[in-house]
Amino acid sequence: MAAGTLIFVAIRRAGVDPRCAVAAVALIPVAVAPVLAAPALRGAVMDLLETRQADAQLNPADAAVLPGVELGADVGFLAWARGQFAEGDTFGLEIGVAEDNGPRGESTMRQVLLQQWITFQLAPHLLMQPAAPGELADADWVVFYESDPTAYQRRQLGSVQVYAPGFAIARASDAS
Amino acid sequence: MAPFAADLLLALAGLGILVGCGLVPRRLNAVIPALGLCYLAGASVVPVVLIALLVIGIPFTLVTFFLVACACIVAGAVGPSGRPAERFTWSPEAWVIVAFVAIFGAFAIVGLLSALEMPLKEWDSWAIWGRKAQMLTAHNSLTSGFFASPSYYFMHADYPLQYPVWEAIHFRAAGGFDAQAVLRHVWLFLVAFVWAVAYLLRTQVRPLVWAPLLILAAAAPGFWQQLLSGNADVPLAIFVAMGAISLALWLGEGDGRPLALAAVMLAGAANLKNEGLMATVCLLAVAGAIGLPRGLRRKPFFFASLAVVLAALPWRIWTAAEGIEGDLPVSRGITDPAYLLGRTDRIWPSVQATVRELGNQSLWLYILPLAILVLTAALVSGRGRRAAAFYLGSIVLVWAGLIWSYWISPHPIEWHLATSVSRVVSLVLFIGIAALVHVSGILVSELDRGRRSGSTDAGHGLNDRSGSSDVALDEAAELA
Repeated sequence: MAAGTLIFVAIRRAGVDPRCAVAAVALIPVAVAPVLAAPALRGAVMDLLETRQADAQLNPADAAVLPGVELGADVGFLAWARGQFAEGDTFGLEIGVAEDNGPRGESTMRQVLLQQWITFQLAPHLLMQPAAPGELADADWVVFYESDPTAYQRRQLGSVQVYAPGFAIARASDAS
Repeated sequence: MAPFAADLLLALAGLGILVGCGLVPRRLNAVIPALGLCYLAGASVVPVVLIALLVIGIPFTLVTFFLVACACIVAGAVGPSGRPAERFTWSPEAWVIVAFVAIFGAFAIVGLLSALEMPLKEWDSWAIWGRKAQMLTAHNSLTSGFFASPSYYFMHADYPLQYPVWEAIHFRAAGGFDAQAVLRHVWLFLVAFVWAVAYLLRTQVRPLVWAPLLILAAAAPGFWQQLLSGNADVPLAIFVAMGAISLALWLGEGDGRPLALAAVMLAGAANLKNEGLMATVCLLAVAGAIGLPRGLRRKPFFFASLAVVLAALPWRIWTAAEGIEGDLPVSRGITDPAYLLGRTDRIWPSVQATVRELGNQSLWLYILPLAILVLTAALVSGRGRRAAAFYLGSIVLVWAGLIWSYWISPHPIEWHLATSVSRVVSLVLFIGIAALVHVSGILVSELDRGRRSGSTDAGHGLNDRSGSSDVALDEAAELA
């Protein structure tokens, strides 16, 4: 505004029509733009080239699961589980609460975030919800993430395939 | 290369639409200058049509995409040939264009090289948009097991599908979902926007004005960083800004062709996010409030508005039929004063947070303050006053719409602001970019005209009859 006022005063002193003098204020952005843009452009180019260098180190498989890795998800288990599913299979999800997850609120948030990632990495297979709390979902598979399938009645599950302690998948017993 | 062929097809579809609307001459030498605008038009209309087809049960496949694009191309081929293409002449300012192409072109290439390797990392980019695009790549229909499923409540199931459909077009062309292969196409939005603004404003804004301002806009970290995050906010803001420029041109010239372009761009915006629908309503309301009382023809404006409504309807009907609700209680926010009064403590934090983000000059390089400066100058000088009033009214109303969204939101205000405000303000900033380029150009042109006519204090000043179109239209309205 100060620069605009100065320009207005200077142009009026040159005897220019007042409305024209106000219009001259438009010269300020045109004059200022290169001054602001030049360092920003240089910074942008450096950032983009650095980012390219870092991202070029990723192989496609790593790039696909990068957000999950940052979240601390077991992307290897999820990739293995997805490989067991046939086209069109659906799954239910049981996420346990790990002992070192901190206060209850943090545990709940972690479960929510994990659910979002797990459903993304297992896509296009669809997540099914259980009909009631404590029941298993009516789906082709159940994915046990940081939880123990033996906690569920065996008659609800078909054969359990264990990837690692706390990480397993099981066929729903009707589908086995 | 196949995904880039999809981009070419989108641009050709856009060319057909723009030729059909009489905005681009049907001449070979008119294609390159208009290519950016063509891409944005195609990227807006084709997904809108595909969404409508999905809603009525027609499968989304590459064949469907190809047929829709071809239909748009044919619309241009059979439409009127339009006015002759402008002939390019070498003038001192042509060298400004050459310098601009060199500088911006180099930046665009660096950006594309970076985007070629960049995977989706930002939360919304994979959790919302990438997820929906992934499903549209794997399935040909709106499978209720996903889009209407409560299992996926976190992905804003009510958001329209413009952006996921656009992404899925590229994934299908590439043969499958690839998180590292979409941002290279997203980058084209930046290139297309800059190109489109320069083309659309070429008769009103000198290269000496638009070139440095558009480079400033492109260099703003708030633009390119947010764009490459893979979130939908910047593509949305681009469609809104193009709609704003088109409406401002209509207000200045009374020509129905920019109005058709506004409908094209705002149809895309309304189908991209719920904020897009809000911004569309705001822009049309402000344009109508300024233009219609001044004697601009009502029928074209109402038809353009109706076109936008019709474009937005299919998805809204589908979500209503499936019982999908958004997380914002919009109807309560309009009809329930008690609801609003009970949560007024959310207003001030929203105002503070949005103003803080709008004032973040490390991201936005003083674009908004510069825009406010030229808008004020236009209002005071009377030159480009109608366009200035429109842009200023749109900025204020869209910003107020964002505040209202936070006001009515059921989410904890601190969390909601922290996770979204830096993104959603890009709507306001991009209208600011449009205003800055357009109105600066109008003012500089008036300055040129005044200088050539030798205006002085004691003299005749600016000849109002040769002044801006605003004045000519006002006089015509008075005679009517």
